Amino acid sequence: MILQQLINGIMLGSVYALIALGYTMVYGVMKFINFAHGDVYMWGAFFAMFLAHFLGGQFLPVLILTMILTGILGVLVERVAYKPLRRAPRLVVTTSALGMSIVLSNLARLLIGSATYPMPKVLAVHDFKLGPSAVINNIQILVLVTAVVLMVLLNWFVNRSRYGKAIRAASEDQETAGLMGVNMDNVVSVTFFVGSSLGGAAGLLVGMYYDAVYSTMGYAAGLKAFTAAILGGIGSIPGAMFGGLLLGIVENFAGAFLSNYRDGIAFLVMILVLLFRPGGLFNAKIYQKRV
Amino acid sequence: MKGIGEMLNVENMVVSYGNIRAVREVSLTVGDGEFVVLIGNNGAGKTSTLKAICGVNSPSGGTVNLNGENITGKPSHKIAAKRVAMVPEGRRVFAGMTVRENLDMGAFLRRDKKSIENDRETVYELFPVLRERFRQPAGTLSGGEQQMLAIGRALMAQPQYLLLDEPSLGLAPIMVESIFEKIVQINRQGISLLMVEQNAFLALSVANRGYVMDSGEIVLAGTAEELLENDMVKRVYLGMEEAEES
Ligand SMILES: Nc1ncnc2c1ncn2[C@@H]1O[C@H](COP(=O)(O)OP(=O)(O)OP(=O)(O)O)[C@@H](O)[C@H]1O
Ligand SMILES: [Mg+2]
Repeated sequence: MILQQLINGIMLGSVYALIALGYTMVYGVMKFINFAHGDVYMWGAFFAMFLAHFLGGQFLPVLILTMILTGILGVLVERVAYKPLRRAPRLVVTTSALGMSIVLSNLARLLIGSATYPMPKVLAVHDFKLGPSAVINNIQILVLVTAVVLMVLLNWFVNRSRYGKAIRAASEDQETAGLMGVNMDNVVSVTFFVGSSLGGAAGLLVGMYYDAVYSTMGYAAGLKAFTAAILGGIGSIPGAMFGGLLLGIVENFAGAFLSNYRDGIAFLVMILVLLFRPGGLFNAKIYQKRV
Repeated sequence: MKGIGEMLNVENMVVSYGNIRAVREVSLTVGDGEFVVLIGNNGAGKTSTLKAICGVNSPSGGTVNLNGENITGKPSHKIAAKRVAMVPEGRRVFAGMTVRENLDMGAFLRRDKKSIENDRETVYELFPVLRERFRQPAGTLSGGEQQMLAIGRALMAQPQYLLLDEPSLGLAPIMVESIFEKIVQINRQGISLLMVEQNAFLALSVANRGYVMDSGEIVLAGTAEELLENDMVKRVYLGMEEAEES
C-alpha cells in the first residue's frame, strides 16, 4: 500500500515537475508567471492525440513531434502576448498571460470540442507485480523514464550548452548578459521553446496515463505545477524538479488517507512552505553579491 | 585588422533619463591602442556615457562612431559583436555561475574553441587566483577577485576597445594598485582602453590622455601630464588646496 502510493506519487510528481520547469524557466528569465503555460500543456496533449492517431504506436516519434509543436506554440504565445510588453510592468504581462490562458483553452473547445477524448494507444498495457500489494504497469514506467530522461537532458542543456548558460546569465542579470553579446530575444524564444516542449511532453504522458484529453485539463495541472515551482523556489530549476516530486508524493499519500481533501493538500503544503520558507525550498538567490 | 584611423569617436552625445539630462553633448575619442581616462565626481554622468557607448542605453542625441561605422543606438549585443567590451560598474559578475562559466559568457560570441582556450589560459596567467577558483560560484569570490573576474570576462571577448567603469570601486589600496598594474599590462597588449575612475591621481598616472566631466559635460581635456598639472584638477580632483595660491 505504501509502496504503491509512493510509485504513484513519484510518477505523478515527475509529470508535475516537467510542467513546473516551464513556469520556473520563464520566471527566471522574464520575472513573471506565465499563467498560459497550463493551457500550452493541454494543447500538447491534443497535439499528442492527433500525432498518436496518425503515427500509431510509435512512442518516440510522437513524443518528439509533440515537443516540437508545443515548443513552437509556446514561442508564438510569447511573440503575440508578451513580446510587445517587454518593458511593461510585470503585473501587466501577468494579466496578458491570464488572457492568453483563456484564449488557448477556448480555442481548444472551439476547434476540437469540449468532450473528453481518449488517447490512441501508443502501447499495450502490461502489469508488473512489485511485491504482494504493489503493481506498476509499463505505461507508468514509460512515463517515469521519459520524465527522468527529459530532466537529465534539460540539466545538461542548462549547465553545459552555450544557450543554457546564456539563459542562466540572463536570469541573473539581463543587462550584463547583453554586454556579453547575448540577444535577449533569442534567449526568450529558446526559454519558451524548451519550457513549452517539456509541457507538451507532460501532456502526452498524462494523456497516455489517464487515457483522457480534454480542453480544461490545463487548469488543475497548471495550478499544481505552479505550486510545485513555488515550493521549490520559483526561478530554480532543481527546485522545480524537487517541488514536483514532493507535491506528487504528498498528494498521493494524502489522497490515500483523506481522499476528499486530495487537491486541498497541495495548496496546504504550499501555504506551509511559504510561511516558513518564503523563498521556497531551493532559494534561487543563494549567492549574495558582495559589495 | 587594425589600421590608421581606427578609433572610437563620440560626438555631441546626449543621454537622458526621462526629463533628466545626465550627459549633455559630450564628445570624446579613444584612438587605437590608447589609454584614456574619464574622471569626475559622483553623478557627473561617467557611467551614463559608457553605457550609451556600449548600447545599454541609447543616446538621445549625437553619434557614436566605431572605426568609421555609426553604431549609435544599436543594442548592446550588436555592439559587443564589434569587439567593444565592458567591465561594468560594481563588477556585475554572474554570482550563481562558476568562475569558469563567467569566462565562458565573456566568449559567448566566439566559436573558435582552441583560441578561446588559449585566451582562458592568458586570463588565468594574468589573474592566477581565478584558476585556483575556477569551479567556485563567482558570488563567493572576494570583491577584488570579482573585479579580476569581471576584467577577465571582458578580455575573453577579444576586445579591440575595453571600457572599464571604476575598477577600483570598494577595493583596498593594495588591491587597487595590483588591478591597475594589470590594466596597464592589458593596454600594452594593444587593447584600447576607456576607463572611468574616481581616483584621479592614480588614473592620470597610468593613462595617456584624460577627460574631466562635471554635471554631464566635459569641462577639461588633455594629456595625462597636462591634467596632473592643471590647477582646477589639482584643487578639485587631487585634493591639493595649496594649488589655489599659485
Ligand atoms: N537609470 C537612471 N534613471 C534616472 N536617472 C539616472 C539613471 N542613471 C543615472 N541617472 C542620473 O544621471 C546622473 C549621472 O549618473 P551616472 O551614473 O552616469 O554618474 P557617474 O558619473 O557614473 O557617478 P558615480 O561616480 O557615482 O558612479 C545622476 O544624476 C544619476 O542620478
Ligand atoms: Mg558611475
